[in-house]
Amino acid sequence: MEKKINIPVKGAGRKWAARLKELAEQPLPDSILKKIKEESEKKKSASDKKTTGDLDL
Amino acid sequence: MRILNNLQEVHRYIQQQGSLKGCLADTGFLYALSYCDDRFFDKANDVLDLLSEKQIAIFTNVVSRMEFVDLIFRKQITGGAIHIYEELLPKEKNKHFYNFVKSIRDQESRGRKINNSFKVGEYHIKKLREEILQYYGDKSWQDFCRQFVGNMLVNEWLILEKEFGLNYMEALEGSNHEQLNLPLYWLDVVQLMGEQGFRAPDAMIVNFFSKSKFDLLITSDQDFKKFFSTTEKELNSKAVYILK
Repeated sequence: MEKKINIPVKGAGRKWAARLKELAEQPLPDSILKKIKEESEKKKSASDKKTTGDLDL
Repeated sequence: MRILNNLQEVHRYIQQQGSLKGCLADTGFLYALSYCDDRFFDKANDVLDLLSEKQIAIFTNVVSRMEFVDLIFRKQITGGAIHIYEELLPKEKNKHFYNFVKSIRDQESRGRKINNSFKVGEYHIKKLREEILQYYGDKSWQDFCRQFVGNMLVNEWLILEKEFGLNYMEALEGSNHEQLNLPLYWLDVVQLMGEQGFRAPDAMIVNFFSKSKFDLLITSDQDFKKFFSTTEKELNSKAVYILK
């Protein structure tokens, strides 16, 4: 059976460029984002404690 | 061999030839179609639309197919790395990792200013994988790749190829093929590398085009200009459109 030849579709490049851009703009996966947020919270609370300590003095 | 310098010349060439069975394209052209930060994005898309209007299929070899998907992979990973940078705090515990993703972001920003579509290379990918696995756990790299690459490559790749009008040609060493005037030989590729200084994928495209029945080659590789300007007379009816 003869293989069907693909012919370009007008606007296909721009359409796929937008799709690839959209894909690259997705948020980070939960497994990574969760750990970054946890780390950031830890840092924030450590910094708060330090500030409170300073005030007590 | 004619060198075509703009879309009007491509248009005129197609009209003069009557019709084209198909044209050959290299990876640079395919990538330029796909990312708007590539300096040839508009020109590549204008020519794709012309090919669509004239119902001309695009052919390339499996090496270009591999290079194309690899460039997309590298570009998507670059985007993901920049997202990590954006979420991290400058006072990150792992300063080394923070600086590493920042350097990717900086290179991407610099590239954007000069219309150079920056993509991470092999070194960056290996290091990024190592660091992500170390800091975010066993499944994190897989999740990262699935998020920024996997969904598209698995579910939509064949639709992309169909809509780009891509067709892949494979020919065995020395064998005849309906799209070839002359059989392809590996040693001809090696000779082009040694004598003209082409890298292997470029030498394969040059060899393929020279021996194929295709009249037109679309490329973003400026190195092809000098070579094709001085090639044999039997290739006179062929033309190369070099995006610039």
